[in-house]
Amino acid sequence: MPEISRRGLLRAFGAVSAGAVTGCARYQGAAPVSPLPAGWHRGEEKWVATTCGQCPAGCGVRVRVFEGRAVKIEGSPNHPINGGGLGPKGQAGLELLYHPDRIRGPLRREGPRGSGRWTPITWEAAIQHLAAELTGLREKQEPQSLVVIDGEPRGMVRRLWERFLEAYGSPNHVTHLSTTDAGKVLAMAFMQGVAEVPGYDWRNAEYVVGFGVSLFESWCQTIHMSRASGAMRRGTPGRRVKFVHVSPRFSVTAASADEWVAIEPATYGALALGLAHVLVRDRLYDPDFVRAHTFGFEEWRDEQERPHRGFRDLVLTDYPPDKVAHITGVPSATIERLAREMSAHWPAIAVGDGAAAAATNGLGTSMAIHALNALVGSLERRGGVVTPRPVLASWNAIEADEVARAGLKVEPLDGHGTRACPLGLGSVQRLPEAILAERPYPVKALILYRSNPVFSKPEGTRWVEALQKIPLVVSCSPLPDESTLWADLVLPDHTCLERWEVVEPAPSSGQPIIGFRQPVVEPRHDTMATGDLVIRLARAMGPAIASALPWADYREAIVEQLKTLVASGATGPRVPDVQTLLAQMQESGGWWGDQAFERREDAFATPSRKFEFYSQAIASRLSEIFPDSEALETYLAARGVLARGDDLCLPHWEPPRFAGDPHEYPLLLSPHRAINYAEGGVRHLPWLRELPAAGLQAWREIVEISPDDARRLDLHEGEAVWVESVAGRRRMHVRVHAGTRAGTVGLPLGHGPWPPTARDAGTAGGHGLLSSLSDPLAGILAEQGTRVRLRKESA
Amino acid sequence: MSRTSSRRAFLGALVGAAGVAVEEAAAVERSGPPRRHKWGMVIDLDRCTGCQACAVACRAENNIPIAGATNTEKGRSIFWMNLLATSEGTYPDLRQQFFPTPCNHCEDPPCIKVCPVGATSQSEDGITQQIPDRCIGCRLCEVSCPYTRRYFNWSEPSWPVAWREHLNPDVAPRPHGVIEKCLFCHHRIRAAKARSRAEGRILVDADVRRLPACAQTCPAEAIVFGDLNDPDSEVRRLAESPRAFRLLEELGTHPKVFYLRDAKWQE
Repeated sequence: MPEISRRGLLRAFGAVSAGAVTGCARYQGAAPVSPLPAGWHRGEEKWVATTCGQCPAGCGVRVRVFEGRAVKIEGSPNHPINGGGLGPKGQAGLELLYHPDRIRGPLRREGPRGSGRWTPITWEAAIQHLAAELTGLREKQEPQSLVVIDGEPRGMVRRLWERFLEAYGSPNHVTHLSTTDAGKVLAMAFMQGVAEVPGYDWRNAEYVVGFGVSLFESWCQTIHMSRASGAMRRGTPGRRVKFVHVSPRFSVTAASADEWVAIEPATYGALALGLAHVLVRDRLYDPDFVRAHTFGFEEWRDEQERPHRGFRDLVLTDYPPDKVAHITGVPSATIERLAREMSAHWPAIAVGDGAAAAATNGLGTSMAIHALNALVGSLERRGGVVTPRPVLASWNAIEADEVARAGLKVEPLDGHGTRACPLGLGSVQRLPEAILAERPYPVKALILYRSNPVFSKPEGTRWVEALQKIPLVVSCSPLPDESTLWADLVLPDHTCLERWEVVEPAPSSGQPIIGFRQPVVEPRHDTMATGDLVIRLARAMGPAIASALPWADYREAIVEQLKTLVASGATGPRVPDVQTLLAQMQESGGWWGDQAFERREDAFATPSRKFEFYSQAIASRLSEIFPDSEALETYLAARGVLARGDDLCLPHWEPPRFAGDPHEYPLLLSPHRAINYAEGGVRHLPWLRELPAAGLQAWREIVEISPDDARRLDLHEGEAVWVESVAGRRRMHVRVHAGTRAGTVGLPLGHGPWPPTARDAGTAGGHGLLSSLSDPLAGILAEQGTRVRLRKESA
Repeated sequence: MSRTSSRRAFLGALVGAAGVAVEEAAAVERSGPPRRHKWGMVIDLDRCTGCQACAVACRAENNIPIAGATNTEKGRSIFWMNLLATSEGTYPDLRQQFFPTPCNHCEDPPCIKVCPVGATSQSEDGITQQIPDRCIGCRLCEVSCPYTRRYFNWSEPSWPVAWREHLNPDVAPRPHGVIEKCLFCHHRIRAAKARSRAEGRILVDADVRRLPACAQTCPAEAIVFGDLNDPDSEVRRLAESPRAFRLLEELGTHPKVFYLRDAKWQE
């Protein structure tokens, strides 16, 4: 690995103030009174409405622009997601916009990979270069060897990449889903037929059980949740909604909850089914809802008259409270009480996320948690779980040419729809293995959009090896992040405060919402919105691809897309034409419609048109992929899956597996994202690094251990320690934390050195220590499944 | 870039530099509304989720410099709005409470009594203010504040050139060697007063309820600001709530920051 100095690297990226983020650069010169941008007068200021992009929540913001400089971000007062408030990440958007290390323009690699020697090039030359390379792959009839890793869960640029790859002929539009929301999305997909994160009508809920979900820290709607929780606790005199938080770690969310239930790691599914047992046994569930709107609760017979197991039998037989108590460490009296409370306070919401699903039993667990919502009859009800509906329609299908059609038929590298990931939507963590083994085919070009896998995906060192194997790596990152270090071509994106965009936020309350983004200041550097890049790239590649993306630029594509809102059936304020809509959105920062409930006709898009405890989609998918029961049996046995037959289609729990020998690696790593985990991490934005609660170790990479383990291992607060796993090792510092469960090691993700260097590649920030162990059927990353050992630095 | 020019040049370059709350108080006396304001704040701990947006918004609004790794480890970070956490118990029987802590703007502030040079005083509106130009950095006020809400500026405030772009033009950074503290965003109060004057009306509760940067950004709407002298204000109503308490009330400092806290959920 070539050694490169940090300063050399920064110079190469064109940053003038190396060391800025580490705080050692001191301003000593005169304050130059910067010249006013054209069109601005001294003392002039205005407020611009736009949409925050620091996390997928899509809060509406107003930015104060003073003499052409953005100087403060505030929440938009009437926005349905954040209602005038804004989280710490949103506030720190200014630090991203004016980041001293931003890449100044397109770059081509000059020296060896990772050397940090770059030559600035023009956009024209960069796009021509990339277009020529990609056209070459198509000419060789191997369009499938292009991979785009797209870190944006939804939105316009994602639609553009999808369309581009369809016309180009690559099935490899790889998302981060398997490492983020896959559990919830798959539970929805298999039980309701809608592959989307559900919305939750918090304001009208009466009871909330969160399984491993960091409701008040870091999930897809933290700020909406904070606002809603204020209303749920103090909004109506005499009404206070109970929050129950289930997790092994006493976190900020646990502290804010009304009750914290400590649980053994990766046993959430058993607890959910134990609650279901009590609800069913004592007839505490909603019998009308279950009878009218669900399938597979009772035993049933298929067309061939074969009997199938029902959910009732499963929970009554397999999950009695004393057995569940033994598995989870939650006393059976608590299980009984929680089930009674859930039933008595209607509507109740059960939500599982992050830690709950991030285990080798992730799919069964996610389904078990979602099944509780059906049992208590909270689906599609006011105060319950709401299926989000798309507001913007898809574009019409394109005519792919012969090369593209052939390429699209090839097996995708992330395993989507194949035997590698039979019940999942693809696993990004499979990629390093596939790239290095060149199986099923070699990767010739990789484009990274809002994705930094070397830093934020498991087994970071494998990613470094994999990137070096690919002949052409392109990064669209606006910052010189850990993966961009290894790129051949850097095509920096605008930041969210510099571009035009239509935003599809993560579903919050289920209300249809579209966010609007407009530049609050002129782009700071010679960067280009990736939406524009896709369109220009398509144009440079000739008519076969250009015809699929016929727009002049990204703005035109946005306007075209918005026309589908004008024409759509989403209920809400009607707009006569797209010009009026645009004008309104520029003023308000978005468009939002009305919340609707009890719309079961499209909320349950399953074969039975009901909520399915027994997922027929799983049954048919397994029979599609595995021609006979023998093939399935071999597959399950080889991957250590214990469930068989009907249980595979029902919510179920099986013991988790962990990566690493328990004798060699005696502790379980328990990674988590704190409130400051912005897109891509914490390390690059000092305001988020220095949150007051982070204390004296705010700038360090830390691991949290329980006071008992600290005594046993003779480790002390602030001491340096090596954290070692099967995937790598990293020097971190100890924080002794009373809320950490003995035997586990807490790891706040996303810290690490900034700016990154090739020396740190792979394990900085902690993601790289994780193994890529996954749910064997659904491909969900078992983020909570890596064992580690701690070694004193002095030893 | 010249390395010799002083911080003053830097301060002077910021338009509308306004670190001095005294002028502000005088301005209010000349043309302010007939009733004297008594600014106070209520923080509802039942709403607060510990997100710390208030602390970040405060740093952004008041040009509080980044501490950096070294100063952070030495405990020299500056948080006009901080988040204190108290916790008790052992696993799994744990409790933790977060307190967002701005300056309490005590009615009887111990910090003012000890200042040998009159750098800190109370404005007519009840804001405990700090005049950097008078401060000699003796730090007596810092040690006398029972709430640790005063911060000593251990270094020259500095930002990389690019990050200087986003500095708030309404607030001057404080130089090295002086004490700085929360001023209830008095520059915003002054602007609100000016606006209401220009519109020919007096300042009303709705103008100020979420006026300070911390209150404006709070996603949980836990922070309410306003005039404790106004019998109809939200802040007054909440301060008189049976849930209200103040920190270290037994010291007799009479903080004007109130906290609200109920018991947890009860069936």
